[in-house]
Amino acid sequence: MESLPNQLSNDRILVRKVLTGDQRAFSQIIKETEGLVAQIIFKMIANSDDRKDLAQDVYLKVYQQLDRFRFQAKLSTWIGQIAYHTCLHHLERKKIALVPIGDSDREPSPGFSTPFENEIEGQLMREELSQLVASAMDQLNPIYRTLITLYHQEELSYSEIGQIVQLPEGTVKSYLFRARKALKAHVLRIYNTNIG
Amino acid sequence: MNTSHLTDQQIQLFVFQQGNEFEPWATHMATCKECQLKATLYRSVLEEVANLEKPVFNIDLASQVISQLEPIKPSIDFSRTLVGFIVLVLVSWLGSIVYWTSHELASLFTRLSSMATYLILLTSSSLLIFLVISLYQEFLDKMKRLTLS
Repeated sequence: MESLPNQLSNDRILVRKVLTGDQRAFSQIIKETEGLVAQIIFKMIANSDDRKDLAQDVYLKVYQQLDRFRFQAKLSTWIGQIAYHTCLHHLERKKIALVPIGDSDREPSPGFSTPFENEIEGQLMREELSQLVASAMDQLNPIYRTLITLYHQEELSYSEIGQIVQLPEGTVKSYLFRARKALKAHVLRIYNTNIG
Repeated sequence: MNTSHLTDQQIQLFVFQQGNEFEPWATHMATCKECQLKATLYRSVLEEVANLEKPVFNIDLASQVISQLEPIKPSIDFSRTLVGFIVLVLVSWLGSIVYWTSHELASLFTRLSSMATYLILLTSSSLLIFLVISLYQEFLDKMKRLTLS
């Protein structure tokens, strides 16, 4: 991974080129960041047509606002922030619930466990988890899914995630805690349903 | 040996944020099968998340976006221009007041009656409180909208 000063220096060069009309530089920016943007959009938006439209919308916004980028964060983080908020506005416009309060999303009750949890957990270690986890991720709400993906798959720091979702680091940590707990509960529930 | 189990949050911290401060939990984790299982489940689930296939757009996003771009027009940052203009007007206005009334400024507060002073203080503090409350409410609204909790 590139160090932050190097990354910022590369970002400066690319942004300067784009601002002087070099569209190839913008194409490079898109190619370097579309993985992160795809992660955010795919985790937050279910409809595939909407995903494509939003991805283009995100980069058009980036292009229009690029002269206002102040290099206080990495360019990719700033673009991630635009992607996240574009998705958020889209979901709000469509009145899609962002954080449904389901059983699994509640705060843990004291001594949180189900009667069969330990047995199930033991068996799960020997099962193929991949399918289960993918299904469980699909059942998480969009924000939890995005936070888990950014931290555990994109390996972003709490600070970078905080910049993207514009929440304090403490809130990000607290949301991640609840998100992991909800994910674990979904995995166990799906497993229970499958064997039941 | 500490027999009380770790909470879910403690297990997550132990698994995902290893550090010296979690040393006391390590002792418990080394001996408690139940907590070990929970920790292993968390570790395994999140390792699977890390290994999930990464999504990709099935379009050439760069070409599609580039075809829609219009040349960047050097934009004037209106908010900064406006703030600059307001500051300039305020400075000139205050400057003129100070210039034309400098000989009376020294006695401005000493000549005020105590009632007038109280009125000024009351008005300005009320305004300040009102501004702080409205800013705080705006902040709470924004946080509520963002955190959606």
